[in-house]
Formats: sequence, structure tokens, C-alpha cells
Amino acid sequence: MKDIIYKKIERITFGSLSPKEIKKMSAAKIVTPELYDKEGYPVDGGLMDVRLGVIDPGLRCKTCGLKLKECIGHFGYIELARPILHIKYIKVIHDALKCTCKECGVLLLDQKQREKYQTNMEKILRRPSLLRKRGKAVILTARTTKKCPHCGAKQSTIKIEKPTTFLEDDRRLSPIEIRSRLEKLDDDTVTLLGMNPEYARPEWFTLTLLPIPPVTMRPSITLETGERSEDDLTHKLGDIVRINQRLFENISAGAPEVIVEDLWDLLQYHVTTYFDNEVTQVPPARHRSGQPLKTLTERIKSKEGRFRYNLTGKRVNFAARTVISPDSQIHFNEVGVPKLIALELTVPERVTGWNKERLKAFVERGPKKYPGSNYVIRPDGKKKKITDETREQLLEEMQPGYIVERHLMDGDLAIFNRQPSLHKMSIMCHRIRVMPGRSFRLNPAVCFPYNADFDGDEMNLHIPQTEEAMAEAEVLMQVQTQIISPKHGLNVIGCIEDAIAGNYILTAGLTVPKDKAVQLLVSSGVDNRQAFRKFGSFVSGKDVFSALLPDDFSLVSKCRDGTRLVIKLGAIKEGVVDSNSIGEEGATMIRSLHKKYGPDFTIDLMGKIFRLGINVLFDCGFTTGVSDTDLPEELMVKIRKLIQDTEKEVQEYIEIYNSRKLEIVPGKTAEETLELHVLQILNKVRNKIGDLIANSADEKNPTIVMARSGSRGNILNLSMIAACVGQQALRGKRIDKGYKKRTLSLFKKGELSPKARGFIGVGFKDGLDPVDFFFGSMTGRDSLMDTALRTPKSGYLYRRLANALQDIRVEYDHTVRGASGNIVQFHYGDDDLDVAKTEKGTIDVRRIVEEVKIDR
Amino acid sequence: MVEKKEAAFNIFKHNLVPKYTKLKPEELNGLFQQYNISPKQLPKLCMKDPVAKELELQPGDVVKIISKSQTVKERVFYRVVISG
Repeated sequence: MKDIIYKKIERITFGSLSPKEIKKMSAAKIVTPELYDKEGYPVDGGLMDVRLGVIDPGLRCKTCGLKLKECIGHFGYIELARPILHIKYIKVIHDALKCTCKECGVLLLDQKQREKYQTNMEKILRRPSLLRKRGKAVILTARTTKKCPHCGAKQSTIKIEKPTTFLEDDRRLSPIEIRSRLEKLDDDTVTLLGMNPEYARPEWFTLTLLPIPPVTMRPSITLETGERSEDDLTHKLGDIVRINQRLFENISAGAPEVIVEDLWDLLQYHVTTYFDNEVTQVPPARHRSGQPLKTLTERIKSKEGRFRYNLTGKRVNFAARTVISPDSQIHFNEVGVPKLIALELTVPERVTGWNKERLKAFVERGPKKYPGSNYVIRPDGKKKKITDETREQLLEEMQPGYIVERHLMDGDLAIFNRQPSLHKMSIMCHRIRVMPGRSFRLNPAVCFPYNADFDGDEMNLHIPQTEEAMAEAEVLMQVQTQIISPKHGLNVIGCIEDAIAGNYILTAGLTVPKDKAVQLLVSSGVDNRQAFRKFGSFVSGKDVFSALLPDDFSLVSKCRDGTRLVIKLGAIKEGVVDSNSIGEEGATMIRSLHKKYGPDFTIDLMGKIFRLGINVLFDCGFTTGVSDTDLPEELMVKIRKLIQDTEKEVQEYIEIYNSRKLEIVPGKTAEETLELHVLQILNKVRNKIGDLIANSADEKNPTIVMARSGSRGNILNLSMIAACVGQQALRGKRIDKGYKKRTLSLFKKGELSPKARGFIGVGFKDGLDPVDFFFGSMTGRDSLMDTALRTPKSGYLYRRLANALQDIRVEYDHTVRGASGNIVQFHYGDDDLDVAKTEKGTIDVRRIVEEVKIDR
Repeated sequence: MVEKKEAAFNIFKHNLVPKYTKLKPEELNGLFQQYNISPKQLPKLCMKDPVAKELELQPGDVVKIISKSQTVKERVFYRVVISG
């Protein structure tokens, strides 16, 4: 590695290899399909020839004398008995044949056209893209010419018979003929066809020599049994060499033309599949097991190809992946890491005069005892594994400048990620907390930005390895820095489920004795003794919650039920705390806290609020069951009546329709008009029932509490269970599929009644009859298929979008520019607003004024 | 050839069409210097665009476009005319 030469690349030219170049760059000529002799040594002139590079450790390359990994390998070549068409250049060959005279090889353009196309040639030669463009134009004009302007020969049409046969007036053109025709083209012609004759000539696309790639790019693997297994490419090349040798023998033995041609075609097939094994109309070459070979094109192309698999995405060290599970007692910005993983992942720490003794203790404990260390790196870069044998020696020689790779410990930084990483909150930095068990633990409140749940999701953990990386992760990526989303300027991390319900119950009118209040707060992590001192012997829930808030915090906001939530100088004066103020996505209180006190304070306070909510529920108990959806007798009667009335109303409409007296909506047919009305009426029922239930609900009912606080479920869910599932709709219409003019055979033909078109007039609790159940399944299956089909589609859409937009950024002069400095916008979003610093893209001045007023 | 249609309807009077003004040659350098760009890096306007046709713009011309915006009173944009 010491002979590094530094040079600046001025330009890169791509071209195709001429036979001359192939020979020049080759280290060996390959003549035999055999790989190894009886002793297992590579055959000279075989595909594993030692001159092509080394793949066995300890050996030296016969060509350059370097060892394994130093020698990058050398090409060889084989001489093809007959020319073979290169599958990837068939189109170019076709164009060249069509545009030139079959007799004299002159480009089929008259003088005038030629002059027109030859203008500006010097400039064009310097720009490959222009050259190609010019070539396309020339081909478009020249291919239609019928007579050669030079020798007057009549031109015949040349067709491709896919994949590799050319037909001239139904006579097959052999590659020999094609090659000799292409050889006749002069440099000017080649240039006009869009190629630079220095780097690519059409006859080079009919191969006479085939380069054999070095063994280093097709290494053989030794199996456990000692058997050697060759790479797909070696297999393919073996086929080519074998058939080529047979072709040679047959030609020199003077075999009949039919046999030679058959072998020639076979060789063409092998060379074609060697380049690309997925050509249409060519059966792919297969292993004995029937699995298609992975040849050159497949190595490069698509998701598993070199670009997307090895270059754009790489595997990394210092990473772990396992199942996630919830732990509501750890902080939002923590991640629980199993001890098993903590023993494996390490953080490098440099030995200094100050931490020498501490780090020595880590080395002393070694790799098995936690917290120990796995490796020591000497100043010269040598990495030493700590084992029982090496430990003593390493301890002795350890001094400032050494680096100890110690086990993960509480408080270390880690980068946590869940795929698909669709936005920046999909990768955040957490602090490690080593725990027993085998799963990563995370606070359920951060599920939302990751879009995670615990039904078996797995997540990845990465440990930054340099001080710089750690600092960046800490400052830019920690959970608290991601509370506000740049998409809409609202919080994406907030309280969920129990935490919201708990705080709702607390602030909606709970009163607790002083000791209870203090206990609730202290167990949630609050240590605000001044607030405790203010408590009387009984404390209202609002005051308990207020003890969390800073003394100078004021807020005016709306509760979910439309009433006001007023906080004045750190005390709740009006309203309740619900998902509108502490939930995720658009919680007013969290947004204000963040703006006023910053991310670190907010994440801490959010954690306290979260735990307070949970502790309230721990204390008062919270559960729900089917009996919570029982409705009072008189309400049920009311609802039944409502459903009956609605069905009657629909029936009336149908009767009007049947008597053809229905007033038709402009632009719709009579049926459509009826459907419109009916659907409207039926959709209204469920809402009406919801309102009835909401108005007469028991405020203590857990189901109602959950719906009111916004922690889970809504009134509609409740009414579906208790009273009426409602209209099932497919594509925005009532169900009208199935049999001729009816949905199921038990209905009359043309029946339009609610029941016959998917209206379920009973609740889940009442039980669905087979008809209702069938309609319910229809919509269920429909939505299931819809999501299953939409996910991959939108994923690809996103990939394209992300690749197209990835370079765009805001420059220091406020312009939005692409990678080449091209201006996309003159001001970001035209208004230069950083959305993350707004609320939903705007600034609510009126609310700020109100809050200031309250402070006075 | 189709004869050039008489202005049956003036597109500049349409309320969705912003105000276009062609920059004078002496104004160009100032713009390029302000953003430190070459004309190629400006957003583009196709010569076949109805507005470009109406103003008889040629490739290389730069237009200043002032449109109304919901968030900011006036949105200023520059576009360079390209052929094709």
C-alpha cells in the first residue's frame, strides 16, 4: 500500500475493446475447457490459469508476482472459431447495416444531406452526447434510402429475427458477412453514425476474440467436503470454450456445413447468455438444479446488482438488530439494549493519563464479564483481541495512546432505526440502557415517528465509533431534537393511550388527598417541593397536573370538546388535558413548551406527564369490556326507532323511484339519483346514533372516557358495537355486486332495500346474520387487498421521488439549488419560512396575543 | 402554415397568468452576479410556452415573473427561455 501515486483524473473515455486491445491486455490465451489436472493444479491454458490472478492464500501471481488481495487479476482471451454477434450491440449493428451500402460500404446519404450532417463536426466530436444525437438523426434519414448514391447498387431491407439473426430479403446474413460489410465503413461513416472510430468501430461488435475475465472476479469456493465449486461465470465460460474447441475441430476436419452451423449457433447462444442471461426469446442457461446462471448483466443490474446492493448500500459493523418491545418506564430518548448485545458491541475509548486506571479495569474484566472490553488497539493500529492468554500482556503494555474497545454501558449513544426510513425521524439517536432479556426496549411514545408497533417489528441499532460521530448524533439526531416535524411544524412525539386517558381523568375532576397527590408526582419523577407545600389537605387533579408546569407558562387552547383550555402562570384555570394538548401530531401544550423552554426541557416534562398519566391509571384502575358498551333501555328503543324510521324513509324513496316520479339531479340518471339520496340517508343514521349515545353517555364509562380524551377509539366505534354497524360501501357506493340484478340469491331481483344493499342495521354485540356478515367481509377483503397492493406501488413512487430530489438543498443565499447549482426556487417555499419553526406553516399571532394578555 | 391568430383573447388578462417582463440585456449581468450563476442554472421557460410566444421571446432571453402568492405578497421568479 506504500506505492500510492496521486494523480488527478482529467477525463474518462468509455469505448469498446478492439481485438487488438483484447490481445494486448491479455496475460494468457485460453484453449482448453478443463480447469484442473489430476493433482488439482490449474491447467495451463485453462479457465483457472495461474496467469489470470490468485485466489488462493499464500500463492503469488504468475503475471505480476503479487500476493492475494494485492494482485487484482489479469484478463485472458479466447479466439472464437467464427465471429459471434455481441447481444448488447445488435441494435447498433442493425443500424450500421441499414444505413450503409451493401456493396461499397458508403453511407447512404446524397451529397447535400451529407454536407448538412457534417457541419460543426469538430465541436460535436468533443461532446459524446451531441455525437450520439447526430448519429440518431443520420440513421433516421439514411435508413430509408433505396439506392446507393455512390455506386448505384440497389439496397435491400435488413430485418432482425430476434434475438441474433439478421435477414436480408429472407436470406440469412452470417456474422462473417456482417463483419466484412462493417469492416468496409470508413472513419467518416462511423463518425456520422454516432461513434468515435478511435474508441468504437461497428465491426468490433462482431466478436472474434472474447476477453476472459480474471479469476479474481469469479473465485471458486471450496466446500466443507473439500470439493471445489466454481462460479457461474466460470461455468458459462467453460461452455463457451468447449463449444469453441469443437467448432474449431469440425471446421478443420472439414465437417458438413450443417454441423458447423449448428455448433456456431450454439456458440452464439452461449456467448449471448454469458453477457445477459435474461434476453427475451433466449432460454436462460441453467445450473443442473434448474436455477438460472447469474452472468455479467445480472451481476450489475437491479436491486441485487453491484450498484444497488454493493455500492449505494453497504453492510456495516457495530450494528445490532432484534425485536422491539415496549417499556413505558424508560425515558423517551432511551433505548433498552439486551445485555447479550452489550457484550458484543463496543465503544472505543482512548487511554489517557486520567482514565488509564478505569480502562485497565475494563480490560481486566475481559470480553465475558460485563462491563468489560473485547479489543485493545495499539498506537500502530494493530488490533488485539482480549483473551485469557493476552490479557496480562495487554494490561502491562497499556499506556496513553492505546484504544480500548469497551462494552456498551448506560448513557452511551446509539443510533436507532426502523425501516422503511421514510423521513428523518426514522433514524434517531437514543441513550443506551442495558437490560436483561433479548429485545430492544423503547418507550411506546416514540413508536409514532418510527411507525413501529410491537407485533414482531425489528429495529436496527448502530454505535457511532468516533468522537465526531457521537457529537453529531447527540446534537443533531437525539430524540428531543426531533419532537417537532419539519413537515408541518407540529410535534410528532407526544403522550399516547393510557398517558392521555390518565391525565384526562386527573384533570377532568379527580380530587385526591395530599399524600396521594405527592406520591403520584414523586413516582412520576417530579421533585417540586415548593408546589407540594402549596397543596391543601385535598388537591384537585388540575392542581396536581399544574405542579408539573413551569411557573411562567401560559397557554390558551381548545379542548377536544370545543371548550377552552386556559393555563395561567403554570396553573390550569379552565378545561381538561386531552389529546389536543398532549397527544401526538399537533398537541398545543407540547408545541408551546418546546417553543418556550426548548427540546431538552420538553422531552423531560413530556416524560413526567406520560408517567403521571400512567400512575393515575395505576392508582384508580382502568379497564373496559363489553358491558361498557351496554346502553340504557330507553336509548336502545330510541335508536331502534331511528333505524326503522330511516329504513322506512329509504323505502319511500324507492317507491317514488319505482313510480318514476323521482326528481332527477342534473347530470345523473334516475338510479344514480336514488343511490345518492339513499346513501346520504343511511350514512346519516350512524352519525345520529353516535350523537344520541354521546349526549346521554355516562361520564365515568371507560369507553366514553377513552373516546372523549382522544386516547383510543371514538364514539363511532362505540355505536358500531352497541347499536348499528352501518352501511358497507365498495368504491363509494352501496354494494351492488354478486348475482344478476341482486347481491345475493335470497333477495328479489332489483331489490333496493337497505338490507339487500349492504346496510347492517344491528350492532356487533347484537350479532350479525349471515347476510350482514357476508357484506361486512366484502368491504373488509376489499380494503385488505387495497392496502396490500398499494404499499409496494407507493414504495416505488417514493424511491423515484427521493432519488430525484436527494441533492436539493437551501444555499446560504437563500436559494434552493440542485447538485449542479441550478436554481429550483429563489426563496425556500417562496416565503423563506422554516416550517419546523411554524405551526402548520403559519404563525398564530392571535393566540400569542391572548397568551400575553393572560400573563398580565 | 396557419396564420397567426388574432388576439382572440389576451392571456395576460387572465387572473392566473402572472406578470412577465423581459429583462434588458444590461440587467442580465446584475442578476447573474447576484446569484453567482450562469444562464444555464436559471429555471427554464420553453419557447413554445404561450407566454413566450406572445412576447416573441428568443432562446437566451430572461424573463422576470411576478406572481401573487398566499404566503408572501409578491413572488419574484426568473426564467431563461430555451428552444424546443
